[in-house]
Amino acid sequence: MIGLEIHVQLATKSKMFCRCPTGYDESKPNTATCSICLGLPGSLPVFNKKVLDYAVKLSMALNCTFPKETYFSRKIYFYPDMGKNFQITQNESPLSRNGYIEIDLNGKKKKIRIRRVHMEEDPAKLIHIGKITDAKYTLMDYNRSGMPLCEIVTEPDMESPEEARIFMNKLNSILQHLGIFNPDFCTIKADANVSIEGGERVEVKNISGFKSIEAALKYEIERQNKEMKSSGKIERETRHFETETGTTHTLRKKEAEADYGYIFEPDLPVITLETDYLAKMRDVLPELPDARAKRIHEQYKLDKSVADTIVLDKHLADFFEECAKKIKNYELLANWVLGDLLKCINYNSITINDVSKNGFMELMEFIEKEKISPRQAKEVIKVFVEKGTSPKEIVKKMGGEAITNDKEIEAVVKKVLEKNKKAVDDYERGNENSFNFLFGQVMRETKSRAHPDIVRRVLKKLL
Amino acid sequence: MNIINKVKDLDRKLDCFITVDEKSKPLCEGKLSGYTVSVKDCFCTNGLRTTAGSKILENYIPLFDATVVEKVKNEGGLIIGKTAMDEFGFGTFSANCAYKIPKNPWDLNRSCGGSSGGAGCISAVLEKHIAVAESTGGSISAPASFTGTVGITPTYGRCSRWGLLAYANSLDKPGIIAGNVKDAALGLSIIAGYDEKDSTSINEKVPDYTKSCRTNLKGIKIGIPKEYLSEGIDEKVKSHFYKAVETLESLGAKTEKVSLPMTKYALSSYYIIAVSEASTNLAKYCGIRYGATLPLKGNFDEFASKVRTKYFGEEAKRRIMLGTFTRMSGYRDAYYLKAMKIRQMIIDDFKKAFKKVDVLASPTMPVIAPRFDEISKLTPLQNWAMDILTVAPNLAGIPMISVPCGFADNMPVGLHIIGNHLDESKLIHTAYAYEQKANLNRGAEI
Amino acid sequence: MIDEKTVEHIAKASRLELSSDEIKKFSKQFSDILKEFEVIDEVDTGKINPCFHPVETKNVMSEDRVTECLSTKQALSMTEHKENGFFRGPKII
Repeated sequence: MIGLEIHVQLATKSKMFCRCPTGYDESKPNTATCSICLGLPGSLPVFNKKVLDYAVKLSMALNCTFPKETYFSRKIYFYPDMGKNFQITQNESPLSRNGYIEIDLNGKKKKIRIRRVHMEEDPAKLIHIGKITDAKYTLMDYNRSGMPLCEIVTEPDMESPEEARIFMNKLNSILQHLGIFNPDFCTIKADANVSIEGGERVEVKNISGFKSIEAALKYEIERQNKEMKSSGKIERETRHFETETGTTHTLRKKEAEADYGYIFEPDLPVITLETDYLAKMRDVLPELPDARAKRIHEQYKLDKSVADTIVLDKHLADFFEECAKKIKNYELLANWVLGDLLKCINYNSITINDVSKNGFMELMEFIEKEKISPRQAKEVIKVFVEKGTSPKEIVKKMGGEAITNDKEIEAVVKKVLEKNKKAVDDYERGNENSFNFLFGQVMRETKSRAHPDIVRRVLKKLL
Repeated sequence: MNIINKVKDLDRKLDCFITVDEKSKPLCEGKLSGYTVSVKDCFCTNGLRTTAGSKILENYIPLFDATVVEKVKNEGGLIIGKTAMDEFGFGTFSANCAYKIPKNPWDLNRSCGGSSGGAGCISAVLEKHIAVAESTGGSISAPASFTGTVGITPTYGRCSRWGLLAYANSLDKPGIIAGNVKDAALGLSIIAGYDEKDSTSINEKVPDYTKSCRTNLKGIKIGIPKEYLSEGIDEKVKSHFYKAVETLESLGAKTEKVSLPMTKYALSSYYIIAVSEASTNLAKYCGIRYGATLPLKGNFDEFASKVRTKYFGEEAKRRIMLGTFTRMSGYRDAYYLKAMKIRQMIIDDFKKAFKKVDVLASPTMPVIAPRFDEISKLTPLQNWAMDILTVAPNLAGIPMISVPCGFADNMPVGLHIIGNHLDESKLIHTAYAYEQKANLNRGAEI
Repeated sequence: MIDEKTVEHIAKASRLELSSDEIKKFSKQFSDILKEFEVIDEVDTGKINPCFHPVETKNVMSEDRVTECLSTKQALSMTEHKENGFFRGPKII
């Protein structure tokens, strides 16, 4: 079973308890600090209202329930990443509890329960000269100190790394739709609790980003299975995930629950979650992925699974809906967006926001009106995504629009048959492969401009 | 003699300053023009060394002013220096100061009280002086009582804690010690007020407290808590207190006995909460980003332990360790949480009393200022028990004022007047009327 | 009662080093103090909520705006442990 503790940095302008900026320059250490986030004696935290707004919205999106009051606590631990040697977090009174995220497992719905959502400050960044285990000393950059975090704790409801990945993708989409997470300067990190049948729970720390989660879990479960086979048991421990190698390593063995000696944070007043405030937050909640998928499914008559896939990336869904204003063959549009467009984006390591909507719609019009052949379109989209050139230009360079005229194609086919007598003979002797060969020659001759259906029909006729 | 030289001269005899600011100049003209101001060394002063009486901050120069310091500067106060105190406020006699132990101007062999000992000391010998002090469990009242001065501890949150080096955040209250009620009222009018930098400060308008300096007490009802006159109180102190009650009655006040049944739980609850919070506040001192340090050696835990062991004094260590214990899992519910609940019951006790009376009166301290040789023989527990009369109102965050009410063995005795939340005006009114009639304020000769 | 082992444990948790004499002394003192603290056991706190602040303030928050930071030089001005804009500290393990 897998349970996750996910730390999401929230995209506020200023930090959680001081007004230092969150969008600092990573390469310039200690340039976004003040007496509060450095933990200087005499400084006092002042809570950023936006952090509460964002965390409340997230809790609502995760179907959590709210208490009447919530407050902060001090979690005391000595570590150089914490200016005060304690972290302001929430302990017995988290912001919200008992929610869930519904995920889709090959058409089957499954609820992953959320135990709690709470708010806390991020520690500073430590740089170990060499490895953490043999470094001579540590360098500290307090720019990150005090960045606002939301911690989401799930129940151990996930049964495989794939489920965890699907869960994380869904969470990512929710964060995007809420507009509270900005991948440009926010990070997401997870700790995972992993246990296999008959073994004790192992905590894997330091899993960074949405993508590492599946790899880390796969490695850890495989390791536990091997361990179980060889020694018959899995001991309780905390392990560290190394992104570079994709492996986990023991950090602490069989340790009793660390004693953080929590006290209420006496520098911050209680927060009461008034009904009016919650209602106001609910009112401004944007359309969330589940509702949006349902609407897209109904409005554009798309398969539910296609709609679900589209909303997994808010920007992709926005892109789709924007294009759907003009391109009315929604199924075709969805196929191209989720198919070749995504492939090209990933290949070029860019994002959907880097793609020109107008350019793409131009291309889709060519396809929709069959002005270019599908093959041609596949070539055009590659160049369009990579270079950003307008599809019209690309098509022109490639020799023009599709050839849909039977006569024009007949002329080319005749030429090809003349040149490839042997293949024609082979075909007549019953070799089907020869047909494909001849088809390919025609396409090459027309630089893929010929419509494949017509080519097939003409070929058959003339053979 | 210029004022700084006079202060230095007094300091040589009394050891009341950790740092004297020789270059100080008033910033502007204001309500404090003509006054000298001292600041307890637990308040940050921009560019001026701030130690909180601890070696761990021996060379600490803050980058900003505490809000109360800024307010004093904006009213033209001349800040002459930083007064001596028990390390981080941990004490009742200022004997736990890592630098100097202030001597009582009435008898140099006796304590000034604490933890704002230096503030009480200088207020007893310097005219037109306002001392910015701080109380967590009685650190303003104790020195005021022992040095024959006036000490106001306002309502929790009345004055901003921004820039105050925390002892116990839910208890810490900046306040004033001065030679007389009017100066103390003036000082409080200036340092009080809401501050957006302190989320626990109270957002209520500050009255001009000097306007409450009136002499008629007709209509004022004073409650005398019977638990505050139990057997632990020195008989001489008691008799001065009873005389003071007669004086108050002669001014038109009505007095009646009241009961605060939770009193016996106040000392334990106070110390549990105070050390629990203190142990977290002092976690930050580890020799890396500021404060006293050592060459980087060993791992972080070893390094931090070496620095803390070397620079914290014994009382600080005692309170850090005890506070670590009282919030440790397994003990936290029985100590820390339980004390927080009792704290609420103590507040309820006071609230009930204030339905019947305007203010409460009691002796401030159970004894007159003890001699240093007596203090050195006290166990920590006996030491803490000296706060028996001040911890309950401090826990409740209600305001209190100590005014001189006589002399026993030639040492001052203090009258404690305690009010409801935000009733500082009533306290000042009562204390001023009493002070004018009793006419017992006189500076110590030195 | 706080035995010497407990004193050692809390000293370690507090990042303080104690000599064996100090451990003995604190063990005795803490035991006396805790005995005094026992008085609160007799209070029935029933449904009383713990008091966080004697005067309750609620929902005090700041708008999400950015103000000026310290310069790196200022941030590092109070320590000798620094290097290229970073604070420098001992190794972790």
